[in-house]
Amino acid sequence: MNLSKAITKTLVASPERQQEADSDWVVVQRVQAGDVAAFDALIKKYRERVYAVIYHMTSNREDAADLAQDTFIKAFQSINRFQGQASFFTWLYRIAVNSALTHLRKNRLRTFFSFDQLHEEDKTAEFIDVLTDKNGADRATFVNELQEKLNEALQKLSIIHRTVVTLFEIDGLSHQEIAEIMNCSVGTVRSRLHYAKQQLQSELQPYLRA
Amino acid sequence: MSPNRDSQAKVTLEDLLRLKRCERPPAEFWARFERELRQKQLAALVVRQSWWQRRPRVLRGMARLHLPLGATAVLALTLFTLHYYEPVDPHVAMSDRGDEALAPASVELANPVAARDSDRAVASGHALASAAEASSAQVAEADSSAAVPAPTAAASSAGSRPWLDGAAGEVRQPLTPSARYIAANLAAAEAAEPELVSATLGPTRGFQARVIPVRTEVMNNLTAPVPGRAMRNNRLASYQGADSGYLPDPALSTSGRERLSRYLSDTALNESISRLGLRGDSLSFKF
Repeated sequence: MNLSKAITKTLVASPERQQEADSDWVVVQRVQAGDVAAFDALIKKYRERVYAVIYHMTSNREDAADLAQDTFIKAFQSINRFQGQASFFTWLYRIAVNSALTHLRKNRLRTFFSFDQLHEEDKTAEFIDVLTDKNGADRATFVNELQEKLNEALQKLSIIHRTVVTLFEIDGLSHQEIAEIMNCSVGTVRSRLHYAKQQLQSELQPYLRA
Repeated sequence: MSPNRDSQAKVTLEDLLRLKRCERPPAEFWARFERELRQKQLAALVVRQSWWQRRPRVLRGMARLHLPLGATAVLALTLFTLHYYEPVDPHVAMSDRGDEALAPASVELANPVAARDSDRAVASGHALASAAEASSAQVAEADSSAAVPAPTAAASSAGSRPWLDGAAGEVRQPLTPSARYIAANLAAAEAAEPELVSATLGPTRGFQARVIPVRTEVMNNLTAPVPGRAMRNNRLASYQGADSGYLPDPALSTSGRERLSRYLSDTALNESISRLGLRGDSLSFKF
């Protein structure tokens, strides 16, 4: 492991991420050595996260599926160029984000939304209950409406701001990781995030309780 | 539908965005995803890379050196070009290329001219011989001295025409067929009418040759006293004296007349210049 890799890894946020990056690097080295089947493990590990990032950026599940597949193909084709200076997860995210950005810029005027089903968890179910009248009949309708409004608000943001919000608020990446993925400074990430949140708050004001 | 505003619970933007995490595709989606991905992966393996994408392993390591290598190559090319650059004299280049381009086909064109030249030389030789026999040695010398300037004129005219070289007006091979025909015709005309050709196409041709004498003449008129100026001064003086009845001081009148004549002479010069039309390489006069 060279010095630059060590420095980069110290910048990556948590010890879990560090451990994850190390284990990925072992798998990547196997793939680079010719063990093509080892790449399947990486696909299984990251497919949902890659899909989620692209889906939240595009708000279209068909496009998201295609772009996620393309992301894995690109990663597989150029895995020999991956030298472990960043974590595999950051590298893969960068490919995914760039693919999505290219797709969105190409199809700026063509926007079709198609949403995945909302799988409620305990925590989300709680505040959905708070937001609705706790009426079973109205609840489903309200959830659908909320989902649409959320996606509409996200789509009103610029592509860059949407990407930052997606990576930080939905995927839970750190500022440093987002900066690495988007190839910009941490300060830029913070300012973009602040602006995007302001926009979203004004859009979703009726659903917020201070 | 609007949210329940009666509730006192706190809902933040982060909570709303957390809802997005719950949007997940169904389980069967992943099976299809896996299948399609496998197909694309195999297709990507089968697709042949273009030759420019298949770089040898040695060149892959040089990928980071593309910029410095390219800059070095450009610099080396520039230095090489500057080192070997020589400004070429067009006359030398033309004659050199003419030497190389001498072809059998052009010899057919050049031969009649050369034959005429040799005929002319022979004829002049015969003339000299007959003159020497018929008249005295002084007459023969005079003839020969009269015959000598012909090749000299040809040589001087050849100096102004790069495709003609040598005292005998040897035809050099020009570059294009049209230039070759022009050269052949010129050589034939020169053989037939040498005085006319030297007068029209001699060394004193071109724009400067035509303009410089005119300009010199105008300048001489300005500097040297014009023959008619004195007469004009006198006429002007008599006119002034006759009309106004005023006869100025002789000394003053002389200087005034000089000034007036100078003014008139400038006017005349302006008129002559306005009559003189200079356009490109042509010179025209208006009468």
